[in-house]
Amino acid sequence: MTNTSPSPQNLFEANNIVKRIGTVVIADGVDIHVPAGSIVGMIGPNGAGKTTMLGIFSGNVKANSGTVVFKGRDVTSVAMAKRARLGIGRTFQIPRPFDKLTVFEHTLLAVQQSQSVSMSEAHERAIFALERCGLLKLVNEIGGDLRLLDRKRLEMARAVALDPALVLLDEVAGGLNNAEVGQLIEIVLSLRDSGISFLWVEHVIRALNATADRIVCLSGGHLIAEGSPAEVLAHPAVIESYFGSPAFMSTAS
Amino acid sequence: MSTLEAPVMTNRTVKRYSRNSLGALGIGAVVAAVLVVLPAFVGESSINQLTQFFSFLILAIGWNVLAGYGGMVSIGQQAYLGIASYAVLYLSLHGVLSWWAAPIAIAFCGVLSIPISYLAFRLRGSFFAIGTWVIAEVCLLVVAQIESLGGGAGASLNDLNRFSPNTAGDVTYWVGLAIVLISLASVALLLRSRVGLALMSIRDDELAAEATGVNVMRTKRIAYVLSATICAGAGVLLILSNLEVQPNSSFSVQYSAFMIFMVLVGGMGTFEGPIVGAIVFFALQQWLAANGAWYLIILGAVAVAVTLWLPRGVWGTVDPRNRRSLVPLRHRVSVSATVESGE
Ligand SMILES: Nc1ncnc2c1ncn2[C@@H]1O[C@H](COP(=O)(O)OP(=O)(O)OP(=O)(O)O)[C@@H](O)[C@H]1O
Ligand SMILES: [Mg+2]
Repeated sequence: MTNTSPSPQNLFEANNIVKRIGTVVIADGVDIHVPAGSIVGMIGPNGAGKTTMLGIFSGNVKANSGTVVFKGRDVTSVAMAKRARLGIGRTFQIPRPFDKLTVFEHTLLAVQQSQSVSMSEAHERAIFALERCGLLKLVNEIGGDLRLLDRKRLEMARAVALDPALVLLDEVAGGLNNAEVGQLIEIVLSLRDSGISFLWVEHVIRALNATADRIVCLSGGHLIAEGSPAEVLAHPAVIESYFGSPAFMSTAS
Repeated sequence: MSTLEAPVMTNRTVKRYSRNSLGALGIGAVVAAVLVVLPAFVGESSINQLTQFFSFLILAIGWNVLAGYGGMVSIGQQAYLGIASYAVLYLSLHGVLSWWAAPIAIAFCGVLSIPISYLAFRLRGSFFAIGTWVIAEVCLLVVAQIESLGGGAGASLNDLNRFSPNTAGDVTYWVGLAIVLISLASVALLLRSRVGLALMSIRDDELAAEATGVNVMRTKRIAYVLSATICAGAGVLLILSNLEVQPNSSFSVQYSAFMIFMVLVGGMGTFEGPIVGAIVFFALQQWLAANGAWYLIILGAVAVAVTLWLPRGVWGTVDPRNRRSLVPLRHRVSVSATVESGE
């Protein structure tokens, strides 16, 4: 893939991303592509720079070099808010709810900012986004009052309410129990079926195994492995660098 | 989840009016009507006191928009107060009747606040606060240099002298009442709009607001301009009622202390807070006026007590989750679900 001719079937392309923080090299020429309609998982050891990469993709972190292309348009220098309105939603690893707004107002805000529709239609869409993310029961709660699990759902709902083509998820499955991970998988798959693509940073391998079309593993500034979930999770470099020991794999799956 | 459950017919309605707020609007209308006809029934000194009260109320409303809803803590809003006062003086010296000068002066401050916002918004947090103060001090120094406006000694507003004190006091009172009502209405309209929701989201978490598509600078600027315009209303009212201006007092940072006091005591980021705060402030001021220095000491003590025991202020304590707001600003969704079939 070259920087100048983005391939049309890719909804999202990050090309040749270089990012250093101080002396730490987060990315040293990384390419990540998300084909339309797909779910791409991203794994990597703690501190590898996954969250930083999502920041570069969503627009709140500047890369040292490289380009970000969304729907065939170079958005490298487009601000975060504009990217959100264009259809790149994101969640934050540590949830960032609006402390004094109601849950409904979170998704209403997203609808109002990204879509020009009538008030009643905006209300409908805001409620629909909450419903899809399992938050309808908490519709009138205040963001600052939510528990961690609901905060994570709210992160998703707020991103989904943007009517995005792509959602960047940052460890939304962390801290969930087995049943909750199952629910999350269902939610993500149904959103995917409705046309949203995902780039999903996750430590909970089971979630990616059940959803991802492709997985990439970021470590030491490079994608040390890339391919189907089965391929990547069996890749010796991944097992070595990410899981530390093969024994971990057997307990994780 | 819900997409996977049995088909459910849900009936959702989004409400902004509650019984609470409809009742409050009714009471508010009655209070406003009583205030309009009040000069016919009460004496001149009471009317003048109410005019003073209005100017503090307007300041509290203006500061609350900026800090309470926009999260921008400024200690320089007295810049607009002073400039508006001096704009009225300037216009009256050029033949515009002071009462007519009022709306022009207010509009002028609103426009002026746009370029100033570009300067102030280069700073964040406490630097923003200090920066706004510096801007106000610069305005003070500039105005004090203008000899035609009285220089450092100030000047008096003479064109209302041709009316009887009674008439002048009443008209100024109505001007003040109009500014209060227009300020309250414009804040309510802003907060009900999408800009208002965006503003509150920025206050709560600027990065998350950006990730939700909010144009942060534009939204903040709208709040800043509205706040400046409202604070200008207080400046207009102060010169119309005091009939004199002096740079050091018109641009005094003391006004910022008063604004902060009223909003913190009343409840920051609530619509009702500034009203409650202004009443408390004015009552204390009337009560303690005779006691000189004690006045400021007791104000300080009240401020400390409120921050310690009522950190949300009076109204914020009455209504911590903004559910009892007397004005329909927030959203309330009622979902009544009926499962269609057992499928
Ligand atoms: N603003 C910053 N200033 C300095 N260092 C930073 C900053 N942000 C991130 N880092 C460092 O950059 C590296 C990558 O951080 P990042 O959060 O992107 O990793 P991650 O892969 O998401 O980790 P985790 O799996 O723990 O979430 C870490 O070493 C972190 O300490
Ligand atoms: Mg991370």
